[in-house]
Formats: sequence, structure tokens, C-alpha cells
Amino acid sequence: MRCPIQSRDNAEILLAYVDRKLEPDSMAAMDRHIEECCGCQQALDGQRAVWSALDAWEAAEISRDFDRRLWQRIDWEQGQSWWKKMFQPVLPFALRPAMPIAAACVMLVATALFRTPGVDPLLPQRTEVLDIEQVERTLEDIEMLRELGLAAPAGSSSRTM
Amino acid sequence: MKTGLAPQPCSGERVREDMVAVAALERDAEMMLRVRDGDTDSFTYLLERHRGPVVHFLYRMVRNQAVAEELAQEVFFRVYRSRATYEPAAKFTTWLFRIATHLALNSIRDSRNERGQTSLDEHSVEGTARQVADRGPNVEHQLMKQARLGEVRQGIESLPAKQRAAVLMHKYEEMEYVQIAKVLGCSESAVKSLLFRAYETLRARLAHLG
Repeated sequence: MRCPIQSRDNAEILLAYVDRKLEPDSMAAMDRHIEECCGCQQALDGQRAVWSALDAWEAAEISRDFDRRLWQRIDWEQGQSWWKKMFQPVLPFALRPAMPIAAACVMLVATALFRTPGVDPLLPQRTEVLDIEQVERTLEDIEMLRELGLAAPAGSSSRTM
Repeated sequence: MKTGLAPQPCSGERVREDMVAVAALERDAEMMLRVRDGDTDSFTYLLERHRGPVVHFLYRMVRNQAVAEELAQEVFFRVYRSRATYEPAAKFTTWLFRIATHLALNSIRDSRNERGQTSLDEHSVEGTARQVADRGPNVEHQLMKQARLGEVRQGIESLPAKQRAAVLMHKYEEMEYVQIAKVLGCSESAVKSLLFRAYETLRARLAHLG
């Protein structure tokens, strides 16, 4: 049998032997080899010591709120996703971080515009709708009165009174 | 977890164990496909099943519980986020540990420049040592245990990051070489070489603890 510690490719044999995962034939061959090979004996003892030392290293307990924090993050991300889905494909990568700031600026400008005194776009504008026919009719009436001499000539009203 | 002195199971038992393991792996993939179709309960199942191994692996990689949990959150978040594109091409655990290893290696690289900072883990060891200041029959035993654990941690930490990841996956997650190779994105013989060198270093540092 080729000595396992002489070759890196065969190192797995030593590990499998310590873990007792070799096939029975290979286990027996390895047993025989170890009896003769001082290097393998040392490596084997060392490997057992290493694994025993590593066994002693127990991992710490996981925080109780681990799942809650994860779901919170997932929920938050899903809330953001409609925004991302809408804008991410059309925006260049470099501009993406600037988008929230740009959106905030737009909101501020819009708020400022809506709050400008004197211009209240929410109220209906008082525009007088003039009927053209009515204007024409009024002008014709004035002209007729003038012809009949009932109306004062234009510009004389202030003097006669 | 691999143990050096575990009894050899008979072949029938081993076959049964392997079948259970294969069924569990297939179930993982099945659950992930359900997650892809919008079933959040299946994600809860996967989280329940793999939360511990992932956090513990990350903790042993970065040696800081808070950082390990943050990284684990990122791992599961990425899994959930990429559910729509999931295809069961590889084992679910391979995919999971690939993400975890990638994040851990990045974290180690990023914190390498912050060597001045002592880790929370080291604080906790010192804190425990200070707490057991009163004399009693178990105090000496506790102190020896802490010292031993400190040596194990330092031994693992002394390994290059990739060797560390390989040892942790081999020892604690009981992954096969081929799976470790897929996680680390290297060949199987490269994994054997990584493990050979890593265990050689650990034997030199930790053999006296046996």
C-alpha cells in the first residue's frame, strides 16, 4: 500500500480512515500499513487530536429574532420593489443612487409651487366666459341708439354731466 | 459533524443514512421550487433547516457572532431574492454555502485592514475568564477549556481563508470533496491539496491538545 502521507492525493485516505469511512478491505489494508509506518501513526494521532480539538469548538446560539429580522428585511425590500421594477431597467447604473434625492427634490419643488400664495390651482379659476353673439348684439344696440340720437357721442358723457 | 472516534456503521445502516440524506437534498430542491412559485412556508422550512449550519459556518469563518448573523441574513435574503430564477442544477446546500463562503471571504478581506480592532469573540473569551475569578473545583477546568478553545480558534484563524472554509465544510458540514470543490469553485484535487495543507498546519498547532 502506498503511504498516504507521502501524497496529497492520498491524504483523503488518512482522513477517511480516521473517520472510519473506508471500505472494510481498505480499512484492513490501512490497519496493516499503520502498524509498520511510523509517519502514518504520528499523522493519525495528530489528526485524531485535531478533530477532537475541533469537536470542542461549539458554535454560539443564534439570536431569537434572527427570522423576524430577515422577514422584516424581505418585506421592506418587497415594498421597494415596485419602484425598482419601474425605474431600474431604464436608468443607467451610475444614476441609480441619485434617484431618491432627485425624487425628493421634485417633491419639494411641487410642494413649493402648490403653496405659492395668490395662485391656488386647487380653486376653480374665475374666468368670465363671454358670448360673442351677445357682445355683437350689445354693440349693435349702442350703434342704433347713437343713430337715433339717444345715446351721447363717445367721450362727451363726462363733459355734459 | 465528523468525529475522529465514531464507530463504523454497518453497510445497511450507511445505505439507509445515505438514502435519507439524498431524500433531504431532493426535498430542499423541491422546497426551493415551491418558493419560486410563491410559497413562503417552504422558505420558512428551508430557513429552519439551514439557519444553524450557515450561521455556525460563518461564525467559525469570521469569529464574530454579530457579523456572522448579519452575513447569514444576507445569504438567506439573496436566496429569497433570486427565487424566481432558481433552477435545481446543483445541490441546494452547494448553492447556499457558495453564497455564504463568498460573503465570508469578502468580509475577511474587508476586515483585514482593520486589524487593530479586537473581535467581540475575543472579548467574550476574556470576559468569561474574568468572570470565573473565584476559586472552586471547576474553575481550573473551565480555564483550561477556555485556553484550549482559544488555541483551536487561533489555529483555525491562522489558516488562509480558503483552507479555513474547506476545513470547516469538511469537518462540521461533512461535505464531500466534490461538493466543497463546487462551493469554492475549484477542482477536486485542489480541495484535496487545500485540506492536506490545512490539516498539516492544524496538526502542528493542535496535536498537543489531543
